[in-house]
Amino acid sequence: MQNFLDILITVRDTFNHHVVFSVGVLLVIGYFMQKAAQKLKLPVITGYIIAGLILGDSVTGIIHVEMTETLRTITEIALGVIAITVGGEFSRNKLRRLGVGIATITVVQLVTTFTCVSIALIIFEMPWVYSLLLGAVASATAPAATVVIIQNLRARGDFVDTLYGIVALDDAGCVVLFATAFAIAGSVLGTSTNTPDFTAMLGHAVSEIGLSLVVGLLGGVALHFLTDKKENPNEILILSLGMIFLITAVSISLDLSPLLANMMAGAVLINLSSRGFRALRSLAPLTPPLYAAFFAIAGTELKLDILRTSSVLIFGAVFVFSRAIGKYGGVWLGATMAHSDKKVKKYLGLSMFPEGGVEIGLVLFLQATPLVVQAPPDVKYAFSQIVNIVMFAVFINLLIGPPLSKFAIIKGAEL
Amino acid sequence: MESFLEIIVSVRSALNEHVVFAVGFLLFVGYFFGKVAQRLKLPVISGYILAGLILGESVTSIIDKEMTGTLHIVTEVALGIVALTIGGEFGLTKVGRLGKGILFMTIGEIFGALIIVTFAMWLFSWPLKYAVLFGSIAGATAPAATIVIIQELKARGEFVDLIYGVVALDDAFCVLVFSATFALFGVSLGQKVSIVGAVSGAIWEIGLSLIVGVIGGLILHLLTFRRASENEMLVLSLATVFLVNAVSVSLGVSLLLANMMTGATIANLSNKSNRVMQSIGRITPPVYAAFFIIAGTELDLGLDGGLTTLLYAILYFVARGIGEYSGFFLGAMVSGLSKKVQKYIGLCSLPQAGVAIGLAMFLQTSPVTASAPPEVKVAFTQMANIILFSVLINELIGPPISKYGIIKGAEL
Repeated sequence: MQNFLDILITVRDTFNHHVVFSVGVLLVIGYFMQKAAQKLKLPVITGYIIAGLILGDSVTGIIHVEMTETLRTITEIALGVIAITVGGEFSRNKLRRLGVGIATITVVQLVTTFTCVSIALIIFEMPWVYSLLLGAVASATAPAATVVIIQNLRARGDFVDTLYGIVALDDAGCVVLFATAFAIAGSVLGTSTNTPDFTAMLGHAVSEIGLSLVVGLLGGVALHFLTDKKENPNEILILSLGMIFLITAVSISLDLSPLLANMMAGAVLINLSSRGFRALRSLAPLTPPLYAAFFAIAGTELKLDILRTSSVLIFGAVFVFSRAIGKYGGVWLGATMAHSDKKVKKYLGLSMFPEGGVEIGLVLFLQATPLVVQAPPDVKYAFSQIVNIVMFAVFINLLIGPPLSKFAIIKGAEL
Repeated sequence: MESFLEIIVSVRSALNEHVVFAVGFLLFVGYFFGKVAQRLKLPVISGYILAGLILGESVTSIIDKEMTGTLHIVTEVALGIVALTIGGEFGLTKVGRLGKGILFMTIGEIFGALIIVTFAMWLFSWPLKYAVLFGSIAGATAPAATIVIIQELKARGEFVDLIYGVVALDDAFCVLVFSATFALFGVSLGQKVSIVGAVSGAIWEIGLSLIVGVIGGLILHLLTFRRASENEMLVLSLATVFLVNAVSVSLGVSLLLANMMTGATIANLSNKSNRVMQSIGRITPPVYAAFFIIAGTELDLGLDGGLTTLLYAILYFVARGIGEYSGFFLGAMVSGLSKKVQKYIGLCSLPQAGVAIGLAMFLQTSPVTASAPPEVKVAFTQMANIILFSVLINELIGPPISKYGIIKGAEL
């Protein structure tokens, strides 16, 4: 038995420095888990996430941490493709018809979630500064899972369009909310040297959003002119993919949001000409392996050992629970105010739970800011707890979110 | 002006820090060069290669060496897909019908190149033992360019099948011939190298890559045996290529042979091979484009040795061309293939790339070389430079000639 294990470990160490091997294993194991998930009527992506969890460092270690870093490139590309697809749903007609509802629901659910989570954490005796920050992080929703589930179900209609819209706007709103919370936290926790200036922080957030949109706008216009007259689908595919790569890389290099930028590019493309959809459609053949790898990689990033700390468990549970109430209640309230469809009111909130890269990005950003780096040890410790709480929430929501989203979309879009 | 330059420099460093940035940029520039190539009736891939050359280390060095190294992954994946596609053409019935011609032409081509290149290098003052090594490397042909041109032209038929066959066999034969000549070289240095041992080592290597390929093919067959959707097919096929690649590279065997074997296994086990190839075919355009552009960035213009190297590279290129062409011609004639095949198929074998470079690098790093006198090392370095430079010539001149050969041979 021992021998057999040794052999397995040797085999693992022979191959796992090779990127291609890791992706191959993720795809194959993912495929099996996906089949199992299908049998259980769970979303396909849940299978991939679980496969990643099993292969990742916290269980078998076949895909080790450094490899996960290398694989980040695939994650970036997949998010770019997802975002441009979301953007492609924003034609003028749809926006005119659903715009008010989308804006209202987005703002209301952002504020509600922020309030719910902050208050819940304060009740559980977390210092209010940290509670505000966590509340702001909680307001983010990861678009990837929802978008891929929609595509797998081939869902269409007003419900889906509203969902796309909220998921997209949520990203921009969350950045503003977070910047505000961070500025407030800074003025409380900071000393004279490292206190961020309130208006500067907010201005920074707005300019980040603005610049992301500009990058997306430029990319979208360029792609429009490049592909509008082309007939060869292969050329369109090469150009579209190249443009997504450029937009993503430029956004990351300038510390902007690649999600917003790519969404903007998609929206520009679809509104500039009736042929814009061809560029988006050309990407479709790439998506099955790309999305499969994306979710499997997300799974490898989950860490089981944070489940061991009881304080993280308690605060994490409060966070997840209050966030769920805030999201669902917020959507319900927003939909009521905007007189949206009954289906939207009843089900849409359920598909807002998935969390992912944006949330983790926000807390990691917190840890790297001068405010935290130069802070006394107790503040640093508090921030490492915050990171763990968010990781826990991402973990739970990555596993629970997709099935709920699938249920909500099936009900809401009447499939 | 100063600040403008600074901006450019900072953009360049961002480009080289970020893989996605580099690939996106390469795809764009490559696209435009591909368009220009199309206008000039050259193969699109010539445009890609040229774009890579210009962006790479040796001209503008916008993409630096380190990034080129990172991008090697893309190259491996693309080669894996190319090899899988080639293997997928090997249904047993086809092999039965064309096997003789393929075998004769492969032998003819490898020995044609071996003899003519050896003679030419020897004539121009290389000692015989080095000249033979040149000759044995000359037999290697790069499948990617030819295959992609075939797909671009949507060529079909016997002529194309013959090319697929030779391209596949060539890889295995070349490894055999090279290891035999390299063992001979060791003997000539007075080292105790067993030729039988070297050849059986090469056979073992070939066998191992075929085994890896068969296993990969069986797994893929079993996975797709029951009804799988097109998307699942793509995920599984791609995963198999990845795994076969990684295992071959880790074991130090040929990933080309292994993936070809995977393709051949699928082609013969079921009628699914078409669906596997189709599903993977949909994602190839950007992969192939990136592959050739990256190949371009790897080309090295700045060579040591200057004019002598250049002249030898041209000599090697010309001699290899003559050897390949006449070997194909003889092989085709002996096996009774049509005039058209005799006349044009030799033109499609000029591209030479990864395998040849790999062999040249092997010369420099093998244990035999390590214990050899210094003049051998100097000679090997020069050989590597000559072969690298001839690859450059081949990559630029080969594809247009291949395209011409395929158009004529497949009667398009």
